[in-house]
Amino acid sequence: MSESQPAKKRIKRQHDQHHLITANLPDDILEIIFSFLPIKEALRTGLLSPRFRNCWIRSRKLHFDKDFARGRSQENFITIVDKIFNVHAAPTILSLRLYFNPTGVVSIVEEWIKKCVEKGVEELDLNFVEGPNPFVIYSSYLNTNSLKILKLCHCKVFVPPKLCYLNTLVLKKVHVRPVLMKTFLENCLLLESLDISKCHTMAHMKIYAENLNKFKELRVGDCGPYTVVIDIDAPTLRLFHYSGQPVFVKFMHKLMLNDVIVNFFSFSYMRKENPVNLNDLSNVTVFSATAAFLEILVSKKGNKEFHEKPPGIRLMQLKEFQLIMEGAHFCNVYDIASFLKSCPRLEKVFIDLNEFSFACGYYWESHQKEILDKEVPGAAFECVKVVKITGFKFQKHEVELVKYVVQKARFLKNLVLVTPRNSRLNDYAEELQHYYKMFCCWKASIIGQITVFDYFEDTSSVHPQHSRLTWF
Amino acid sequence: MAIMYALKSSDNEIFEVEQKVIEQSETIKKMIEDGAATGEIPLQVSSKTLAKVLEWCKQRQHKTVENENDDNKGKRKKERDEDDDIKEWENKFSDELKADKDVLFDLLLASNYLDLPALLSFLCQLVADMVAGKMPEEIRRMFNIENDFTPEEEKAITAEHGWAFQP
Repeated sequence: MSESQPAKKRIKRQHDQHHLITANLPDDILEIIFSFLPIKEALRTGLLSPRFRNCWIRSRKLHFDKDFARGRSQENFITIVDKIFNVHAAPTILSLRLYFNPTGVVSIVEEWIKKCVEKGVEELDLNFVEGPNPFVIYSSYLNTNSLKILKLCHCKVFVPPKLCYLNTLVLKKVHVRPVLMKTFLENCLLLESLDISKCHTMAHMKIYAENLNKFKELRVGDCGPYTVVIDIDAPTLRLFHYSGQPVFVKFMHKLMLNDVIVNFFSFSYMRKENPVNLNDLSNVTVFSATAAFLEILVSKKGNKEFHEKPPGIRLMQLKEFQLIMEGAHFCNVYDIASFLKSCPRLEKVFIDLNEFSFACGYYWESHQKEILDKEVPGAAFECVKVVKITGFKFQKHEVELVKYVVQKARFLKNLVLVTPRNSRLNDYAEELQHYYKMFCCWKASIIGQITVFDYFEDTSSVHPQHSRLTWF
Repeated sequence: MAIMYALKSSDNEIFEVEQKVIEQSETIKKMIEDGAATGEIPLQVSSKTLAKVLEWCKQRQHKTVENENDDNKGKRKKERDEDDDIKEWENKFSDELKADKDVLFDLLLASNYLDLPALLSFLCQLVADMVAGKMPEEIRRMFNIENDFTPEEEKAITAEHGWAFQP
């Protein structure tokens, strides 16, 4: 693998040269173009010709990120960055990115930030995760109308700045007190995206954003075990991604949500109500969840009631559903089938069985399996075109899941099975022939194709929109 | 009734444009203010490129008018869709330019000549993204830059900012 990579690169470069773009542009325009390169690239343009020798002093993108920081001492980091700030000659700085340990040099860092603010900085990405203590941000030098993107990692914000033009706020490892959240949401009226991850927050997180007309995306990731309830009042929200311990999510408005991830790390029995009111998800088109979410739903209804009554949930708009089974306790084929049946417009189904085996008990054998078998083939899944099951081990219940789906989906075009991460396709050579015939025999769709891939050679080009359920 | 101006491209095509739209160009605005814009305004820009310039200016004009009329209430849904529309339009605009590099570079020169700062920045960022990650030799060939550094000078530059030249 490692040997083949350089060869690939060489081929690509030759290819580029073949389609070489050329242009005769005046030097002063080239200089403006180069000022839009990140500082490292801008410095490299100094080699082009004497004319561009010092072009880098007008770089608008002062990026000293993780790549820059790798293997560099704090002293060396400061020397280089400070030198660049001292000679910087452009009237504008678009973005500043820092990744280092600021212990003992806080005032220098503050100077850098102030200079950027003076030059109308639009993006600040300050990551101080390398430091032992959070970096304290004072609003006095951050009150700027130019800032559009603010990303803070391992910081402490005492009095939140009034950033009227902010559209993206990312807080990681920041102690988010109620007053901080409140001030941001009251002042940043143009906010479009809010991302809070690994933050100590309150037990009751309140996202009251009813005055924000452009607020579209909310991500909450791994915010510790303390958060119990998230109240969301955001009429314009379209995307909600949650990853962490199970919480109650309450939406106070009828929503336009269409892109949702609920990644519960573990199952926990919730006595009163569902973690998310499924009526709030009625407009969702893309939904990914872990089995823990499904299990909480199932456990609410009580097993007996759940199978006797038809499922009440109706995710009428859902087109793509992804289910991650890892960590599931009792979720079985019946539960999955019940959920799928409640989404009449579903087109794509992705089920990840990696690190998981169905453990179907007596109840399944005696009751649930029979119910599924009795269902009329082809009576549901009218829209399902693609089903992909990854981590497929040809185990008994996995085969039952495939059987159920292919019997039902009359218009299925593609069934894609992928082996688990830790085994190869060759391991299943014997089963393969046998089961392939069975699947073909079961399938209700005439045009449906069945393909099986090795985990490392999955060339199916069928992938879920949410490639990962954790983003932080 | 909006005041119209006639712009004449270098290949003698006439474009009728509203004053508000074309005034975004500092160059033309100044011509109008100086009273130099009577009859057809001749421009050293090809008709293909000028059409693109005007496409940009009209979109910008539309955007600012919308913002002025914004009364902030009852418009939530509409406004959201317009935001998306603008982003979508910009993506489409840049995709078209990336597909036709000659138009891109002509437009870059035109935006400089007509003094349209927003368009100039937009295009410079686009070209900068194309330049990023390329070796100096490739960039020189791209823009016909002659390298008259001696090997010693090159060595001195590389040494001065060593960190930037590490892979």
